[in-house]
Amino acid sequence: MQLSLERKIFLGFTGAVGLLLFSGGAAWLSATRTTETFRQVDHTHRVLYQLEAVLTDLLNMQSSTRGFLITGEERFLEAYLHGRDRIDNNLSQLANLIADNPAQQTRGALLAAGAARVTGIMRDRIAIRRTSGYEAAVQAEALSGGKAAMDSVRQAVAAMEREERILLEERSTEARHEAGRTFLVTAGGGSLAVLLIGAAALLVRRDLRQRLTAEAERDRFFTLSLDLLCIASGDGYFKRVNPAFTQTLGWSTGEMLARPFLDFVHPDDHAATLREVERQVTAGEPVLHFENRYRHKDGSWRVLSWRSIPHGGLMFATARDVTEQLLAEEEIRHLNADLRQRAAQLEAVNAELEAFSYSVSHDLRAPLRHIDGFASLLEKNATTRLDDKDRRYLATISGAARQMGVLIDDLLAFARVGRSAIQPVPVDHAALVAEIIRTGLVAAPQVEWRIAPLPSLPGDPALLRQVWFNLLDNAVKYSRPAATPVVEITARTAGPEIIFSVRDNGVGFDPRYTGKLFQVFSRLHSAGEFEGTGIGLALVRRIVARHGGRTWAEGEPGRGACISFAFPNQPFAANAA
Amino acid sequence: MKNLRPILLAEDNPNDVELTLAALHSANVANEIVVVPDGEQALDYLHRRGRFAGRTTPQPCVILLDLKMPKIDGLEVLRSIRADPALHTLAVVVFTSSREEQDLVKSYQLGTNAYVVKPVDFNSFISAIGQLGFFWALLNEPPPVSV
Repeated sequence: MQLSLERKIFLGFTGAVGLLLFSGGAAWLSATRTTETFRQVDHTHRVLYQLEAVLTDLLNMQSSTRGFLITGEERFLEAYLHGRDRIDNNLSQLANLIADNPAQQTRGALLAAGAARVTGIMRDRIAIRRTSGYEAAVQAEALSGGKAAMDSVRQAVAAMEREERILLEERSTEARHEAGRTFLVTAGGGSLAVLLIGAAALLVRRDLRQRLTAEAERDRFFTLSLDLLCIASGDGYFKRVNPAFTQTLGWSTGEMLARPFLDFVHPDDHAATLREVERQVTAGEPVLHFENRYRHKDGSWRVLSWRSIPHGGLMFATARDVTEQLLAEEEIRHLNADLRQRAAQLEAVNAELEAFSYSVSHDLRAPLRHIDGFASLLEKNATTRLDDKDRRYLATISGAARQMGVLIDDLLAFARVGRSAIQPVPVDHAALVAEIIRTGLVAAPQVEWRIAPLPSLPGDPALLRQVWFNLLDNAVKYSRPAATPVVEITARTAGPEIIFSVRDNGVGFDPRYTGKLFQVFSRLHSAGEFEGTGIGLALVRRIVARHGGRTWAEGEPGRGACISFAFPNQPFAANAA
Repeated sequence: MKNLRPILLAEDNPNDVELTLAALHSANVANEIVVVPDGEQALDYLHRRGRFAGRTTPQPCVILLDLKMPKIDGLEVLRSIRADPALHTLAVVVFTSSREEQDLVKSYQLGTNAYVVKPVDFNSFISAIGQLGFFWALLNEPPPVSV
């Protein structure tokens, strides 16, 4: 069973007190018994003394009587008379002393009888000496049995003395034992009590240390906390504030405690602050979120976010300086508003662009159509009046108009790719490539095609068709000068990507201009060498990018070009424009 | 030749009108070509009102409808034709410069019979007009109850 520290200490001290009480009681008992023993020893000594006194009396009386018998002078009888006066008294005292001991009483009675007989014989002989003189008294002495009587007295005294000495011995032994036990009990109990008290004292010391450590930790927590911690009273003053207050607000602890806390609060926040205090003090409700402004010593206002709980008429509160946070939030709101505005602007621009491209689509093509149309009509109607030069001019006019028509169509297609949403479905690239070559969109019967197996991937079929068409068209176009044009189409997996490549053995390009290849209207060859608008590869790059992929080109002048594009080798999320 | 029904050409641009007429001519389309410069007159013609109040000719075998026209644009004309029980079976071909998806989608939603983008290349233009004329004026059988 796990005992609490307090309980251990209590049990220790209680045990010690119990032990002390017990050993004290034992000592007292023992002392009482010892006293009794000493009293009995004393009693024995007194019995012995009385026995000696009786025997002495009798011997004194005997020698006094002999003196008188021999001399007949009365002055020899003084000791006899003196003894006779005392002996009864001594005998009765002896009887009193041995009243508790029946065996001694019996012996005492024998002694008393013997003493009576001895004193009786002495009295008779004293009387005979007085009346009949020395001779008669000596005679009577011989007949009286006085010696026998005295012997019986001596025997009785000796027996009694022996008995008393035995008792004395017993009682002394008893007293010694008693003293030993008393010592054991008191010393043992005392030592145990000392041990218990010592243990309890150790526990108390340990507890005290732990308490001091805990208190120090609590204090450190209070003083080191980065949050503002305080105890405030319902009377409107702080009772305790931690150093974070000084760090946050600039006021010293003394300054904080000296004035009502409302003095530091922004006047506009007084009512709300009072309401929160009131809620705690009267309703006992905690404050979970409350913000007000506190005046910094430098005159600025800091926004503090409070949490507080009332207890025993006091409020235990923590606060945090959220000024910067609020500013940051404000900043974010601003940025968001800006972004929204920017998005709206972009949307407007987009709408404008759409209107623009619509207008381009519709209005720009009409004049071109008219130029070509009327040039053609003119050529037909005036055919006989025109010379070759005139016809070449007309052909140039028509060609330029048609070229611009193609340019416009390509540009619109390019713009559309940026706008329209991609609807990914599985696209079989092998089938796509085969279909483009078969349907003659790339009219190049002389080209040798080398087509590796191509995978299926998710994507927009129409857009991907445009990609393949542009790449194959380019490859055929630029490999035209080669003796035996070869176009090679491959696909391979490289890490997280699937890479498609279209390689030709045509004119190639200067690697210095690789960057220009994919730019709109950027061409590396003149329109006289190779027809084209400079949009094809830009469109390829844009479509591939819309699919989450990338494009690049490798080549050397006269040694062919290799255009590659790579898609992530995983289904991609459709991204709506 | 059957009793030839006219072709209604709703087109505001005189250049386009001239080119279209030339193309129809060179495609040997013999039908009368009625040209109106805006949507309002197109509807007037179809409803035989305004300057066409006294018209006795049958309704056109096909209407070549430009989308961008003054007053009432092509899509409005199309909507009006399809909403009118007397006109809603007429063949309408949207004939426009616009390749815009929104125009395509709207035109088909409103019930156009075809959507043809005017080619820039005059030869293609002539070929397109010729095919249109051949198909709608000669090949296509209009519904019997057409007005």
